[in-house]
Amino acid sequence: MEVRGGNRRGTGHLRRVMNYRVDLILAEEQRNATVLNPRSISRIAIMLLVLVIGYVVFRSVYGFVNLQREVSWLQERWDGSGPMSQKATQVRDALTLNLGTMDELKGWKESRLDWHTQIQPLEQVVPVTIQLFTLTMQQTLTTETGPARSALLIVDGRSVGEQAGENVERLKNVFETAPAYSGLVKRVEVPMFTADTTPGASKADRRFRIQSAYTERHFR
Amino acid sequence: MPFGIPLSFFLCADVQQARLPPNSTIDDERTGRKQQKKRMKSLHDMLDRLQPKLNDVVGIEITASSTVLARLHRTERGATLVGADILPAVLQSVEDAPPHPVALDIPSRLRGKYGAIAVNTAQATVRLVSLPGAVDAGSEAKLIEGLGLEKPSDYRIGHKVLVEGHGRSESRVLVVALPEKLAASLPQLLPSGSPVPHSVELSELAIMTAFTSTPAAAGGGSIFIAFGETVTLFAIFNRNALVLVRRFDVGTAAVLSKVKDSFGVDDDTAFGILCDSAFDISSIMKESIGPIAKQIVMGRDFVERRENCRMENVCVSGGLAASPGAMAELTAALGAQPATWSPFDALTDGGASVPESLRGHEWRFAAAIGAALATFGES
Repeated sequence: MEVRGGNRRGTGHLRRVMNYRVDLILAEEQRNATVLNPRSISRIAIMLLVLVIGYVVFRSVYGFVNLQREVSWLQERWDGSGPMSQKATQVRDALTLNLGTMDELKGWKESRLDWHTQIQPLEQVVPVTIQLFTLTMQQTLTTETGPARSALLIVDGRSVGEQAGENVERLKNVFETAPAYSGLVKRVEVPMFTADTTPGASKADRRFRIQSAYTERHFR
Repeated sequence: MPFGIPLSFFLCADVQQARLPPNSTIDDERTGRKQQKKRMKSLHDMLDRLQPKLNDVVGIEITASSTVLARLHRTERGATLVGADILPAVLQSVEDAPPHPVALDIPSRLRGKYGAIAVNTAQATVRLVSLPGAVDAGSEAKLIEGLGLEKPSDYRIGHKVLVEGHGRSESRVLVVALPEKLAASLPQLLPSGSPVPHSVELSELAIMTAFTSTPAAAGGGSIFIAFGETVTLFAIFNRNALVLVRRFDVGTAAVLSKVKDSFGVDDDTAFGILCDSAFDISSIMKESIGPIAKQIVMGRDFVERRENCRMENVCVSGGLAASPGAMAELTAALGAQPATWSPFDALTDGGASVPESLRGHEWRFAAAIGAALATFGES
């Protein structure tokens, strides 16, 4: 017996309704009314598995075919660009060589000393009591700390008069302190200061030599 | 036994339902399935919670000539009709059902979530068996024996204990047998999608469920006669409880056939003759309805004496309910004017949504509506 809700026509009011069903369906013949049931879940799982496997296989095959196509295309490009590649290699080698040359030339330029800037101040500072005989400019290449050029300016001359020593010393100071030599000259020496033995020279006259050593100028 | 009616035909109230294994093969199969189900119990439990409620059911009656559909929706106020239709027969022969029949093509508006199938076939057997004491495992053989089947293993047998006996009192059990082939074939009519097969029962019992859902069965004693196509059901209810049920293998088709033979007319004309009073078909009715009416009278008298009650209503449903000749025969036999019963009386809306073309055929939906109502009753 069960109790059913009432209604106007049929079951009227709350009253008992007999259910005479003798159900002959088997449990396995019934289906789940929801979309989710063990059967549908297993079907979906199998379908998903097949889809995943299919996708992986498809991706692998597709990737393999794509790679083969790319290899083939690259091979064709490689074959077609062989002469160009050789030419490019030659151009690159020449460029490297030229760049090296240019660097070397730049180094020469950088290490070069403008001698006229070193001589020009002399005519302003050399007193009339000093006569210059020779100006010797020497340059040597050194490689001890990389390629570099070192320079040496040698001035030979005669200083006349009682103030000969002072004048030579003054000239030496010019090489040490004048702006034209500042930062360039590292050492100034007077290796020779002797009496002038030339005919007609007085006793106070002197022969002298001033050596001005320049700082090494590196190529770069 | 008085009037030749076996005592085992008397019924009362139901308390439980069980199903008998028709043979050991099915028994073994069931055991295997049970074990398999046990393993998946947790998953099933989880999924069962997602099961929609039994609120949207389409009752499906399978007969030899048609497929009757009635989709019901249960609301708080009661059951309402969503739609109904009568389709051509889906099984070429109900008696020789194929193991994998063609799927039933249900119109979308009639596709409920669950399908309650009722089958109308003369091959089914319904018996009320009385057993001393309680029904137990040892009673099964007696129940099967009570069916009087030649080869029970060919049948799917189910039973419902209507009265559980204690001590000396009898148990009364409604026992039903349906050919296994047919029983296995019916759920296959709904192989996928909605509706899902929920139950398989006999049309006669579904009609009884529908009848007891209407006011006609309420009150004192009621006699209910349902003229089916090939089977006529006769049941007596006392205070809305079934106390007698009989089933006669004579239906509207047999009477119609006699009219056709007598007048040499086609089906439609024969039905027309049956439904009007222009022709004298009293002899045919006496010949066809007379024996049934006699059995009904005997049963009524027996019940009235035994139950100490009086049958106040006689309700008739089915094709012959529209025949004045049949009604006259019954009136003469019973001494009371039968009232026409409509299964739509069991619905809150009275079947307002029945298509106009099906008006006058309300009785044909009795089993489908009863099957759906029985499903609502299970939840």
